[in-house]
Amino acid sequence: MKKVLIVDDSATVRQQVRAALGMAEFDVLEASDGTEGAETINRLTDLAAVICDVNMPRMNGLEMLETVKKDPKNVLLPIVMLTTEGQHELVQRAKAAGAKGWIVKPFKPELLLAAIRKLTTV
Amino acid sequence: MTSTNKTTLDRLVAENCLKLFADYKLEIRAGEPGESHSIEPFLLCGILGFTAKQMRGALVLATTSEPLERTNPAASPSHRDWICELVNQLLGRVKNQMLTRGVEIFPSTPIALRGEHLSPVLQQRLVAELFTAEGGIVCVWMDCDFDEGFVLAEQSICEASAMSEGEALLF
Repeated sequence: MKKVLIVDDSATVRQQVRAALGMAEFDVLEASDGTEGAETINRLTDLAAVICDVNMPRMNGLEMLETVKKDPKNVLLPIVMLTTEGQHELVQRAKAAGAKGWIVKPFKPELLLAAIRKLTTV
Repeated sequence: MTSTNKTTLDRLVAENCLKLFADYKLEIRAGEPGESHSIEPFLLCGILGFTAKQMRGALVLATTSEPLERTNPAASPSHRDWICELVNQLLGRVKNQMLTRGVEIFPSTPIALRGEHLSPVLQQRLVAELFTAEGGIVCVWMDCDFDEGFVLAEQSICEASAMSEGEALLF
Protein backbone atom coordinates (compact mmCIF):
# COMPACT_ATOMS: atom_id res chain seq x y z
CA MET A 1 0.00 0.00 0.00
CA LYS A 2 1.14 3.55 -0.66
CA LYS A 3 2.24 5.43 2.45
CA VAL A 4 0.75 8.85 3.16
CA LEU A 5 1.94 10.97 6.09
CA ILE A 6 -0.49 13.33 7.84
CA VAL A 7 1.19 16.10 9.86
CA ASP A 8 -1.27 17.88 12.15
CA ASP A 9 -1.24 18.79 15.84
CA SER A 10 -4.89 17.77 16.14
CA ALA A 11 -5.34 14.06 16.77
CA THR A 12 -8.95 14.42 15.64
CA VAL A 13 -7.93 15.80 12.25
CA ARG A 14 -5.36 13.02 11.89
CA GLN A 15 -8.14 10.51 12.59
CA GLN A 16 -10.38 12.25 10.05
CA VAL A 17 -7.69 11.99 7.40
CA ARG A 18 -7.01 8.38 8.34
CA ALA A 19 -10.73 7.65 7.95
CA ALA A 20 -10.82 9.40 4.57
CA LEU A 21 -7.76 7.64 3.16
CA GLY A 22 -7.33 4.54 5.26
CA MET A 23 -10.44 2.80 3.95
CA ALA A 24 -8.98 3.05 0.48
CA GLU A 25 -5.57 2.08 -0.73
CA PHE A 26 -3.36 4.07 1.63
CA ASP A 27 -1.30 3.27 4.68
CA VAL A 28 -1.62 6.44 6.79
CA LEU A 29 1.25 7.50 9.05
CA GLU A 30 1.02 10.35 11.57
CA ALA A 31 3.16 13.19 12.91
CA SER A 32 1.96 15.84 15.36
CA ASP A 33 4.05 18.85 14.33
CA GLY A 34 6.46 20.08 11.68
CA THR A 35 9.56 18.86 13.49
CA GLU A 36 8.22 15.32 13.80
CA GLY A 37 6.93 15.51 10.23
CA ALA A 38 10.32 16.55 8.84
CA GLU A 39 12.05 13.78 10.80
CA THR A 40 9.61 11.19 9.41
CA ILE A 41 10.00 12.45 5.85
CA ASN A 42 13.78 12.38 6.12
CA ARG A 43 13.78 8.91 7.67
CA LEU A 44 11.47 7.21 5.15
CA THR A 45 12.24 6.70 1.48
CA ASP A 46 8.92 5.28 0.35
CA LEU A 47 6.39 8.01 1.20
CA ALA A 48 3.86 8.54 -1.61
CA ALA A 49 2.50 11.86 -0.31
CA VAL A 50 2.32 14.18 2.68
CA ILE A 51 -0.68 16.12 4.00
CA CYS A 52 0.37 18.98 6.27
CA ASP A 53 -1.30 21.55 8.52
CA VAL A 54 0.13 25.08 8.67
CA ASN A 55 -0.33 26.35 12.23
CA MET A 56 1.42 23.90 14.54
CA PRO A 57 3.72 24.14 17.57
CA ARG A 58 7.51 23.73 17.35
CA MET A 59 7.72 23.97 13.54
CA ASN A 60 4.81 25.18 11.40
CA GLY A 61 3.80 23.49 8.16
CA LEU A 62 5.27 26.07 5.80
CA GLU A 63 8.62 25.91 7.58
CA MET A 64 8.49 22.13 7.37
CA LEU A 65 7.66 22.28 3.67
CA GLU A 66 10.52 24.66 2.94
CA THR A 67 12.93 22.58 5.04
CA VAL A 68 12.20 19.19 3.48
CA LYS A 69 12.05 20.52 -0.06
CA LYS A 70 15.67 21.67 0.24
CA ASP A 71 16.66 17.99 0.27
CA PRO A 72 16.91 16.72 -3.35
CA LYS A 73 15.38 13.38 -2.34
CA ASN A 74 12.10 15.14 -1.51
CA VAL A 75 11.78 17.27 -4.64
CA LEU A 76 9.23 14.94 -6.22
CA LEU A 77 7.37 14.13 -2.98
CA PRO A 78 3.84 15.59 -3.28
CA ILE A 79 2.94 17.72 -0.24
CA VAL A 80 -0.58 19.10 0.19
CA MET A 81 -1.33 21.74 2.81
CA LEU A 82 -4.53 21.16 4.85
CA THR A 83 -5.29 24.18 7.04
CA THR A 84 -7.78 26.76 8.26
CA GLU A 85 -5.64 29.38 6.50
CA GLY A 86 -6.80 30.54 3.09
CA GLN A 87 -4.70 33.63 2.61
CA HIS A 88 -3.46 34.06 -0.96
CA GLU A 89 0.07 35.04 0.11
CA LEU A 90 0.45 31.85 2.14
CA VAL A 91 -0.88 29.72 -0.72
CA GLN A 92 1.64 31.33 -3.07
CA ARG A 93 4.45 30.82 -0.57
CA ALA A 94 3.59 27.12 -0.35
CA LYS A 95 3.38 26.81 -4.12
CA ALA A 96 6.76 28.52 -4.53
CA ALA A 97 8.26 26.13 -1.98
CA GLY A 98 7.07 23.13 -3.94
CA ALA A 99 3.68 22.22 -2.44
CA LYS A 100 1.29 20.43 -4.80
CA GLY A 101 -1.98 21.61 -3.30
CA TRP A 102 -3.86 23.61 -0.67
CA ILE A 103 -7.10 22.55 1.03
CA VAL A 104 -9.00 24.73 3.50
CA LYS A 105 -10.58 23.03 6.54
CA PRO A 106 -13.09 21.67 7.11
CA PHE A 107 -12.28 19.33 4.25
CA LYS A 108 -14.54 17.09 2.24
CA PRO A 109 -13.21 13.51 2.60
CA GLU A 110 -13.98 12.55 -0.99
CA LEU A 111 -12.17 15.64 -2.24
CA LEU A 112 -9.08 14.90 -0.17
CA LEU A 113 -9.08 11.29 -1.35
CA ALA A 114 -9.39 12.37 -4.98
CA ALA A 115 -6.52 14.82 -4.59
CA ILE A 116 -4.21 12.27 -2.99
CA ARG A 117 -5.15 9.63 -5.55
CA LYS A 118 -4.33 12.07 -8.35
CA LEU A 119 -1.01 13.11 -6.84
CA THR A 120 0.12 9.57 -6.13
CA THR A 121 -0.77 8.13 -9.51
CA VAL A 122 2.38 7.81 -11.57
CA MET B 1 -15.76 53.69 18.31
CA THR B 2 -14.51 50.63 20.18
CA SER B 3 -18.06 49.48 20.89
CA THR B 4 -18.84 49.74 17.17
CA ASN B 5 -15.75 47.68 16.43
CA LYS B 6 -16.84 45.15 19.02
CA THR B 7 -20.36 44.97 17.58
CA THR B 8 -18.99 44.32 14.10
CA LEU B 9 -16.59 41.70 15.39
CA ASP B 10 -19.24 39.96 17.52
CA ARG B 11 -21.50 39.74 14.47
CA LEU B 12 -18.70 38.20 12.41
CA VAL B 13 -17.92 35.68 15.12
CA ALA B 14 -21.59 34.72 15.54
CA GLU B 15 -22.18 34.34 11.79
CA ASN B 16 -19.11 32.19 11.37
CA CYS B 17 -19.96 30.07 14.40
CA LEU B 18 -23.31 29.21 12.80
CA LYS B 19 -21.57 28.28 9.54
CA LEU B 20 -18.89 26.23 11.27
CA PHE B 21 -21.38 24.02 13.09
CA ALA B 22 -23.56 23.79 9.97
CA ASP B 23 -20.54 22.37 8.12
CA TYR B 24 -20.44 19.62 10.74
CA LYS B 25 -24.17 18.99 10.22
CA LEU B 26 -25.25 20.47 13.54
CA GLU B 27 -27.81 23.22 13.38
CA ILE B 28 -27.47 25.81 16.12
CA ARG B 29 -29.67 28.85 16.64
CA ALA B 30 -29.07 32.11 18.45
CA GLY B 31 -30.53 32.20 21.92
CA GLU B 32 -33.62 34.31 22.51
CA PRO B 33 -33.17 37.62 24.33
CA GLY B 34 -33.32 36.98 28.05
CA GLU B 35 -32.76 33.26 27.58
CA SER B 36 -30.37 32.19 30.29
CA HIS B 37 -28.19 29.11 30.37
CA SER B 38 -26.03 30.06 33.32
CA ILE B 39 -26.58 26.71 34.98
CA GLU B 40 -25.66 24.70 31.89
CA PRO B 41 -22.67 22.51 32.67
CA PHE B 42 -20.29 23.70 29.98
CA LEU B 43 -17.82 20.92 29.55
CA LEU B 44 -14.93 22.51 27.75
CA CYS B 45 -13.65 25.88 26.56
CA GLY B 46 -11.35 26.19 23.58
CA ILE B 47 -9.28 29.36 23.80
CA LEU B 48 -7.22 30.80 20.97
CA GLY B 49 -5.21 33.98 21.40
CA PHE B 50 -4.33 36.19 18.47
CA THR B 51 -2.56 39.38 17.53
CA ALA B 52 -3.00 41.82 14.69
CA LYS B 53 -1.46 45.18 13.92
CA GLN B 54 -4.59 47.00 15.06
CA MET B 55 -5.99 44.66 17.73
CA ARG B 56 -5.25 41.69 19.97
CA GLY B 57 -7.24 39.29 22.12
CA ALA B 58 -8.65 35.80 22.34
CA LEU B 59 -11.52 33.82 20.90
CA VAL B 60 -13.32 31.51 23.33
CA LEU B 61 -15.67 28.68 22.35
CA ALA B 62 -17.48 26.79 25.10
CA THR B 63 -19.91 23.93 24.67
CA THR B 64 -21.78 21.32 26.58
CA SER B 65 -20.91 17.72 25.75
CA GLU B 66 -23.63 17.01 23.19
CA PRO B 67 -22.55 19.46 20.45
CA LEU B 68 -18.99 18.19 20.79
CA GLU B 69 -20.07 14.58 20.46
CA ARG B 70 -22.40 15.37 17.56
CA THR B 71 -19.78 17.20 15.52
CA ASN B 72 -16.65 15.19 16.29
CA PRO B 73 -16.08 12.89 13.33
CA ALA B 74 -13.29 10.87 14.96
CA ALA B 75 -13.84 7.23 15.80
CA SER B 76 -12.30 7.60 19.26
CA PRO B 77 -13.02 11.22 20.05
CA SER B 78 -11.03 13.46 22.35
CA HIS B 79 -13.22 16.38 23.39
CA ARG B 80 -10.17 18.39 24.45
CA ASP B 81 -8.53 18.02 21.04
CA TRP B 82 -11.76 18.65 19.18
CA ILE B 83 -12.68 21.90 20.99
CA CYS B 84 -9.17 23.18 20.17
CA GLU B 85 -9.66 22.29 16.51
CA LEU B 86 -13.13 23.88 16.43
CA VAL B 87 -11.94 27.18 17.90
CA ASN B 88 -9.00 27.07 15.47
CA GLN B 89 -11.35 26.60 12.53
CA LEU B 90 -13.66 29.34 13.83
CA LEU B 91 -10.84 31.85 14.11
CA GLY B 92 -9.66 30.78 10.65
CA ARG B 93 -13.04 31.79 9.25
CA VAL B 94 -13.03 35.08 11.12
CA LYS B 95 -9.47 35.70 9.95
CA ASN B 96 -10.52 35.32 6.31
CA GLN B 97 -13.37 37.79 6.85
CA MET B 98 -11.07 40.24 8.60
CA LEU B 99 -8.67 40.15 5.65
CA THR B 100 -11.40 41.75 3.53
CA ARG B 101 -11.47 44.55 6.09
CA GLY B 102 -7.74 45.10 5.91
CA VAL B 103 -6.89 43.33 9.17
CA GLU B 104 -4.50 40.37 9.26
CA ILE B 105 -4.84 38.15 12.33
CA PHE B 106 -2.00 35.96 13.58
CA PRO B 107 -3.33 33.12 15.76
CA SER B 108 -1.40 31.35 18.48
CA THR B 109 -1.87 27.70 19.46
CA PRO B 110 -5.28 26.79 20.93
CA ILE B 111 -5.68 25.49 24.45
CA ALA B 112 -8.58 23.72 26.13
CA LEU B 113 -9.96 24.43 29.58
CA ARG B 114 -12.04 21.72 31.20
CA GLY B 115 -14.40 22.42 34.05
CA GLU B 116 -17.81 21.95 35.55
CA HIS B 117 -20.36 24.73 35.11
CA LEU B 118 -17.98 26.93 33.16
CA SER B 119 -19.53 30.27 32.38
CA PRO B 120 -18.27 33.55 30.97
CA VAL B 121 -18.06 36.41 33.43
CA LEU B 122 -19.98 39.00 31.49
CA GLN B 123 -18.66 42.50 31.67
CA GLN B 124 -20.26 45.47 30.02
CA ARG B 125 -18.01 45.27 27.00
CA LEU B 126 -17.75 41.49 26.85
CA VAL B 127 -20.86 39.88 25.45
CA ALA B 128 -21.08 36.16 24.91
CA GLU B 129 -23.16 34.81 22.05
CA LEU B 130 -25.23 31.84 23.11
CA PHE B 131 -26.54 29.27 20.67
CA THR B 132 -28.91 26.44 21.28
CA ALA B 133 -28.09 23.16 19.62
CA GLU B 134 -30.08 19.96 19.67
CA GLY B 135 -29.28 18.60 23.10
CA GLY B 136 -26.86 21.28 24.18
CA ILE B 137 -25.51 24.79 24.25
CA VAL B 138 -22.72 26.49 22.31
CA CYS B 139 -21.28 29.75 23.58
CA VAL B 140 -18.73 31.95 21.87
CA TRP B 141 -17.13 35.25 22.70
CA MET B 142 -14.28 37.39 21.49
CA ASP B 143 -12.36 39.33 24.10
CA CYS B 144 -10.11 41.90 22.46
CA ASP B 145 -8.63 45.36 22.58
CA PHE B 146 -8.36 47.75 19.64
CA ASP B 147 -5.75 50.38 19.04
CA GLU B 148 -6.84 53.92 19.76
CA GLY B 149 -8.50 55.39 16.69
CA PHE B 150 -8.82 52.10 14.82
CA VAL B 151 -12.14 51.63 13.05
CA LEU B 152 -13.09 48.16 11.89
CA ALA B 153 -15.06 48.34 8.65
CA GLU B 154 -18.56 46.98 9.10
CA GLN B 155 -18.52 45.49 5.60
CA SER B 156 -15.78 44.22 3.28
CA ILE B 157 -13.65 47.01 1.87
CA CYS B 158 -11.45 44.96 -0.44
CA GLU B 159 -11.59 41.79 -2.50
CA ALA B 160 -11.16 38.64 -0.49
CA SER B 161 -7.70 37.29 -1.15
CA ALA B 162 -8.39 34.08 0.67
CA MET B 163 -9.66 30.64 -0.29
CA SER B 164 -12.99 29.58 1.19
CA GLU B 165 -13.60 26.82 3.71
CA GLY B 166 -13.69 23.42 2.03
CA GLU B 167 -12.04 24.73 -1.12
CA ALA B 168 -9.20 22.70 -2.65
CA LEU B 169 -6.54 23.81 -5.08
CA LEU B 170 -4.01 21.57 -6.80
CA PHE B 171 -0.96 23.21 -8.36
